Amino acid sequence: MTSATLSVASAAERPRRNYEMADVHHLASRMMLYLLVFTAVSVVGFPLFWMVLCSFKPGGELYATPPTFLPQEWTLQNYRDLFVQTNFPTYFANSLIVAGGATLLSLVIGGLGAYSLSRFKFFGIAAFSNAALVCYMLPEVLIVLPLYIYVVKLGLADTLIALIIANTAFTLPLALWFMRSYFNAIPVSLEESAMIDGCTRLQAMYRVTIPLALPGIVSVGVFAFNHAWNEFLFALVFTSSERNKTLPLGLATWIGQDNIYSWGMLLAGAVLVTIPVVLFYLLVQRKLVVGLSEGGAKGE
Amino acid sequence: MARLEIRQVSKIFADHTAVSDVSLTVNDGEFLVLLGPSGCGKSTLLRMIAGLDLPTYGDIVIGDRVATRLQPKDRNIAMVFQNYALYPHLTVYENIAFPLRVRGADSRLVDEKVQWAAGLVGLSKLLKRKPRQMSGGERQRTALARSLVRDPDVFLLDEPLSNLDAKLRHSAREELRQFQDRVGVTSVYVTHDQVEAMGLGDRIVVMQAGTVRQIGTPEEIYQHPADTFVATFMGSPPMNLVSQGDVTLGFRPESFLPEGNYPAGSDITRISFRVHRVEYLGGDRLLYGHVSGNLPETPAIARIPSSVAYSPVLGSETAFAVASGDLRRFETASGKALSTAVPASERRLAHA
Repeated sequence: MTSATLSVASAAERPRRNYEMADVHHLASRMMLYLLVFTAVSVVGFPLFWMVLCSFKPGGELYATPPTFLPQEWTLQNYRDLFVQTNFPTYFANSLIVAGGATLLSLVIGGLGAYSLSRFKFFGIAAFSNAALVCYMLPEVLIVLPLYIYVVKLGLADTLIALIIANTAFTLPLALWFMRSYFNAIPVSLEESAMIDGCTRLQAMYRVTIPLALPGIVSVGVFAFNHAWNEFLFALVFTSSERNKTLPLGLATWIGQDNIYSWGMLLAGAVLVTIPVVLFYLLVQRKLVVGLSEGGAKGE
Repeated sequence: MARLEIRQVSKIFADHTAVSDVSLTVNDGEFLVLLGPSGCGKSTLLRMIAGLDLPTYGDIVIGDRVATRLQPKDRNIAMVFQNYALYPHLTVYENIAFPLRVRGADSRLVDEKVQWAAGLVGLSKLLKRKPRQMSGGERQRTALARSLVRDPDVFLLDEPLSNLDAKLRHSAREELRQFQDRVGVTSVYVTHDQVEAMGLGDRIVVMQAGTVRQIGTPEEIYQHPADTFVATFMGSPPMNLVSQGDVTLGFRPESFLPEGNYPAGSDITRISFRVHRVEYLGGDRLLYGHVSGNLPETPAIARIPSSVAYSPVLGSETAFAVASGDLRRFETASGKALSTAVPASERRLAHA
């Protein structure tokens, strides 16, 4: 009788939680995570935030001491100046063409090349893929001069096509290697099955392999776009006329044009340069994350 | 639906011969099983039928077309892969619809066919799922449904049950057979599991090291193995082989019984047996021991139903016997069966 009452009493009370080292580790890792996030936000986020704020301040306020945090007077003057006084729209369009073209070419050539590297075995293919990686080790500065000679000889000097080709050449090795590893992770039997189901090899690639490799393709696309969008050296060497300048080059040349930097316009320009990149990331980010989690769970 | 013929096919890879000079015919509507240990070339043979590999020599004929050099897509075959090869990015519905979509079929027809195929394998409620949200058995049935939507001439299956657990495998095997009876499509099934082969096949092709060892119905292969390889590969535990000079005697463990079990005067061959160990398996007992007496000492196994009252005495020689009709003879050097009494049905099929 007594034992029965006892067990009823203890059942009502929740058993004591036994803390162990793992709980401490869990807590510590949460704290580390928040510290890291805080650091990232302040180091990376704040300058961006400051840039956006300052682009709306009128000229005088930019130099005020002590600096104001929020603009006392919100103005779009900097943006207006940017479009009126400079060729900003041309630079912007050029950059879009170059970055878009280089991304497209990298994806098409790199994708087909990586697919071949991953699926076929023939003479020299391993040597080729290794040589491609070695090429990636050469810095831009080293290859820009020989490339310039080619560009001039081919009559492509001061054209956007030269920039597209040069940027593609630079991102291609990485695109090849990256996409190859993605293709390698996709079982060949899926393609074989598609071919038995009535596809040609290219159809099988288009309908099965590419959708599955999409996260890899997207990351290569982001990389190629980012590189071409920010690229400065090729643009500086290969183009000369105002008509063909890209954004980084345009902004840079125009910083040193006068003795006084027009910080307001520069900041407004910087905001507009950042927007497409951020938009592009937002657009593909979901695909990137979804793709990665899908790749994690083996869906054979 | 069509007849499939393999004419003197060999496949030679850079460093080894995977299939050597295989000829066989699969009749219209027949369920043929390619059986053999791993690496015997059965999967390579299947891939050549599918058009994924080109035979180094020989021809493959589907229906009345020589298909040796046809692309897989032009052969009108369907294949279920070992890992099912379901497209992870598509729903079950789209997976099943895939072969029709590739052919640009009208969407009303696609829907009709998909519903029919899904109903056939009992997947109608799961069409919206993605493959990774399904169990192994459901994936297998999806793969079956996908291979059926477009009425293939030949249906190829590459160890489709090997990824299932033992219990599921049993029911899936039954379903598969019922299903084939209903659809009646010419099928080639590859497996290394003799139980699957015996249970499913109209005929079995036993392969070893790239060559065909025997073609026959499950009964023929089990009762009249063409050589010692087939004799020991089929059956669990395998056939006992006792070599006696030029001739090797073979007898199945279940036909190796204590002499007292045979009615007096029946035609039996006496073999004395010394039991070392008894394994109780529920329905049967396995007696491990050595044959002795006038035969050379050789390890052997006897399988005695638990219903037979017999208590073995360990270590002492006991009089066992095999009905003479169940005794097989092989040539010791080549391993080939010496028995001249090949049943009529086997002879007919061998030349079919």
